[in-house]
Amino acid sequence: MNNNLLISAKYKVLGWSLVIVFGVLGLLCLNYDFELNFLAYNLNSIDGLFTNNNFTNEVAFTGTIVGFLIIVFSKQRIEDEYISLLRLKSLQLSVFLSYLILIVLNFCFYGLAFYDFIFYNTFTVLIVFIITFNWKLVKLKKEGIKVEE
Amino acid sequence: MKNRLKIQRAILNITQAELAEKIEVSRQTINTIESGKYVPSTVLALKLAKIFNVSVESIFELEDGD
Repeated sequence: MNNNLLISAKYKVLGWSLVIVFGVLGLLCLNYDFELNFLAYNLNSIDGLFTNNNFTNEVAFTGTIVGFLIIVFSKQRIEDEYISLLRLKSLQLSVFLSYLILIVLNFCFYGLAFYDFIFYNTFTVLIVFIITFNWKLVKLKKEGIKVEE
Repeated sequence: MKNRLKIQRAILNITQAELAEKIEVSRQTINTIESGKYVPSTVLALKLAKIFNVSVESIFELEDGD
């Protein structure tokens, strides 16, 4: 029953920290064109290949994704086969919802707005997984308490 | 699938938490098995049988429709 992709539970805090820091940086970057000066670069020779000369948005995007991945792949305190089943069910739901959103967006948005939503939708699988999985865990704990009473 | 986990646990006089600790799963998992919500893997069923010193069939039994 070993799942080699999972990492120790202690990394969950690191994951949340990365999501908060890089998520805020990403939102600032997207909405207010915020850029960190030390991430600027000068590539005149291949002008036109890059739309801007700053890596802030790339760093924020990578940091947020890595943070979410760490949260998703960190173990529970007791990672047993029932938890694995909950992981699978949550993953199924998150993939399904993510593509459902994509289909709806396909009909509702056009042009640049569509690409904006596609960008936000890259996080849907991870976010829906985290919400569903934790909701299932809370429900499981509550059921356990009820039976013992 | 029917199970007699609760009865077997009563015979040994151990709590869900104690049983969970013995077979290295969470207490909630034992609870879901007892309530019939979750059918454990063969490995877990054999571990349970070993703890109670009975055969797997004494704990788990197929029902019509399974």
